[in-house]
Amino acid sequence: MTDTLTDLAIRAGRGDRDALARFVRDSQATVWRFCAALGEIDSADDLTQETYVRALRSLDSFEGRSSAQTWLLAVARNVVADSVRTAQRLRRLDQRVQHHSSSDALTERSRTGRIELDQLIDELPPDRREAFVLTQVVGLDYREAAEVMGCPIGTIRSRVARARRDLIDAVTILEGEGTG
Amino acid sequence: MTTTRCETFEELISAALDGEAYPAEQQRLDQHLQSCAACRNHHRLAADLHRRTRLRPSPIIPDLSESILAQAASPSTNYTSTRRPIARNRGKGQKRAAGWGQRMNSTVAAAVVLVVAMSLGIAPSFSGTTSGPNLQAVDAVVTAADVGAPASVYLTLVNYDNSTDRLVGGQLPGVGALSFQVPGHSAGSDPVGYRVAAQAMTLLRPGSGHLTIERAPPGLDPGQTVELELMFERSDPVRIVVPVVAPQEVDTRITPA
Repeated sequence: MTDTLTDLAIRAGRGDRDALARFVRDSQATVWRFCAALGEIDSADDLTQETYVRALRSLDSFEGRSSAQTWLLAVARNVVADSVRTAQRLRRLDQRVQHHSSSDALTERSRTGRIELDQLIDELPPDRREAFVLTQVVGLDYREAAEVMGCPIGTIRSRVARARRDLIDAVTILEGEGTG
Repeated sequence: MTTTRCETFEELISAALDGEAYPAEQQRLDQHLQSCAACRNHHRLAADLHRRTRLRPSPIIPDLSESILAQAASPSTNYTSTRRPIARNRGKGQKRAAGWGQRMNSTVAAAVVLVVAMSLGIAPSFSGTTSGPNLQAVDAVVTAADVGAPASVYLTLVNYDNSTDRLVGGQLPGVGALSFQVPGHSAGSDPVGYRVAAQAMTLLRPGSGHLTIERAPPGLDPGQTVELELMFERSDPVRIVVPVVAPQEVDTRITPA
């Protein structure tokens, strides 16, 4: 049950240059979207580039046991994790502070009645954020997301649900329910 | 606002929105929603969030295909057919070393590339060239350094051409120029650069001539990569993406001189 992209990856791994070019062209937008949502959007280009550096390095050992897309996104996930480890630590710290006093920037925005959803997604705990990004932003189904994250499908399901709960809570607090 | 939560059903509500609930679950959920106002409320808010997530503006996605493929074809990240005979020489469990060019056996590898390329009358293509590439930079590393501190660049130049060339400069695009560290030459005393002999490999190594970044930009940390451009007297400029390694690891990452 290999899809086109997986086929291309296997052929590229055997040295087929045309397949390599198509593999990159067909997959790079998804990788970029994932990197932009999970890492910092300003470094999405670099993260994407680095993902392919790492992925193509081991392309000759790719055998299509998982789909090429989930394989590639798993690589991207590691690349992002390496690059944002420090940033994430800061973000978590920041979150703990925000928990007690919602930040000015957010309350400022909430007065206009609109909140940058992306910003709220950024502030989710890492596990929930990853699951949410993979399923809602990249558009993978739960099985594919589980493959990328290397966890059971049920874990994706509960993380997505908790991410939704976190986001709903944040929106409710910031926008106020039923008030202007 | 949030009183009691039916966590199981919150999960089902979420899965249902994604089309990931089994029919039996969906049925159970529908029944529950009839009787639970809190879950009905959550369902409404979750559906609203779902809509907002879908409708939020999407960033403009750049097309990086060309630069990815150029990098894939560059000598230090050579995944193309010329690399494959070399790859077969590597044992299992050494995949990590396969990364940035032929790290573990680079001299041999570069020589194989050289011989294969010359005997076939082709040279692997790499970024930064339009005419036939006659010079490759392989086996390159940059030492990690704090911002503003000096960092060293070590690499091997493979000159496929019949005539000698000279490395006349290098730069970190957008950051600054590299300077030469050549034993026996004080800075600026050799404006013509570093000699790259014909049909041979020139090793720029610790203790011999090499390049330095005088003041490291942010991000020269182990595990990162940095893009370098090398300029030659005759050949086209060569752009390579180089891994950053801890200074004490240089010896394990490249072949010593």
